[in-house]
Amino acid sequence: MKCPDWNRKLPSLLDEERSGPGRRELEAHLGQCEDCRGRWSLLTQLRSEAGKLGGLEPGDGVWQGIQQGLTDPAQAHRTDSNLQPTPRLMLRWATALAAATLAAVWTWQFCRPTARDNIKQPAVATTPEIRQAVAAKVPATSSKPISKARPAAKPGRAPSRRARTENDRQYVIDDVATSDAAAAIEGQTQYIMPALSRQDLERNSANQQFIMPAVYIAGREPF
Amino acid sequence: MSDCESVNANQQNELTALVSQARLGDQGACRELYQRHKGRIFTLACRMVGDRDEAEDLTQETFVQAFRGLESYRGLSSFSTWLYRIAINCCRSRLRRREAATVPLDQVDIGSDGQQVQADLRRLLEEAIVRLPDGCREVFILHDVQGLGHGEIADIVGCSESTARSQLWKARGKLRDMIGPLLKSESYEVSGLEQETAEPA
Repeated sequence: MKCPDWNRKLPSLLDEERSGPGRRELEAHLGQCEDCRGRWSLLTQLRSEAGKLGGLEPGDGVWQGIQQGLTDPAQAHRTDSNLQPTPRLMLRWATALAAATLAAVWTWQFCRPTARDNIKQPAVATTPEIRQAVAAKVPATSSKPISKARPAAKPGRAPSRRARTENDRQYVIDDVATSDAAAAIEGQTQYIMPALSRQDLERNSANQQFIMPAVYIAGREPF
Repeated sequence: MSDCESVNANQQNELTALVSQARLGDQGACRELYQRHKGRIFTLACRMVGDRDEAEDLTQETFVQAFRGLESYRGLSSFSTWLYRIAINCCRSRLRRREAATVPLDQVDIGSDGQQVQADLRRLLEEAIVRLPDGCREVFILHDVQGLGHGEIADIVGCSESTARSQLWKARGKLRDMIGPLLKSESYEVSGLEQETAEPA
């Protein structure tokens, strides 16, 4: 290390223990550099003198002033300002608050109960007729072969609102035609609504238990 | 528990009791708290603003604000740390209202005998501290003058420990650069590592 580097490092070495590696290296350098020896000596002296600058005592009138200040309402307005946390501390709090808000929003967005959670599952599964009716009226949106259709969504997972492919069409049909229909309708209202007629529903009154609430949730008029 | 720890615990309990009494409006407890902390707060203020009268004013302001705001002291940090924080904020407010000292330090002829050298150096140091940038000055006073640790300083000043350290080193370097060229005496001879003294009080 050269002298300018030592010059920068000297103030920090004051805090290092004498047996520390930095100090041993410094001693070796000081043995051969008079300038650095002078700088180091000045630093140590300044530090020593700084330690002796403490221990000042205020005059006797200060306590009287404090007593007056405590009874003087004019000083009250100044009290709060300096008891406030420092700007940096406030920044930390603001950051923590923002993080907590984001976490809350994220939790609400992804873990909130969906409409599907509120819908009572039908006691009776749908009939093949209903499934056919649904399949016939849900428009094809993709030329993908059905054989490549993905497996149905896991139980408990709501279907994507962006479902537009044939895979999703199959999913919708399956879902509507089974006890999971309510959730499917929530995501695919535009397909399901024209697909079902009053006659379809009347074929199995049990279907009304889940289709009607779903229609209501989707914000459309009931049939 | 060692004797030292036991004494510290007793002091802490005593202080907590005093704060509780002061919170209830006990003037005696307030006075006792003032007596215990006035020296450190006044020294801090004095070194921050470089003027004794103004420092007394700041000390008064600090204690008035502290006693008025005792309700907001929740005991998360020690009472002295909390008090220091108020004092630092008071000093900052005061310094914000006035211009920084830009007058350069006078050159001094350092005396020949040891005591004179020390006195001159101390006077120079006192003047140079006031000329330090605010952030450096706070940390330097709290560490090298008051002898507080970096953790407590970080808590008082509202920065990280590493920032407190770098501010301290910066302050020391600046003081050395300010004072070094002013020492014009052949009798002032620096002598190396053996001159090192004990840790500051």
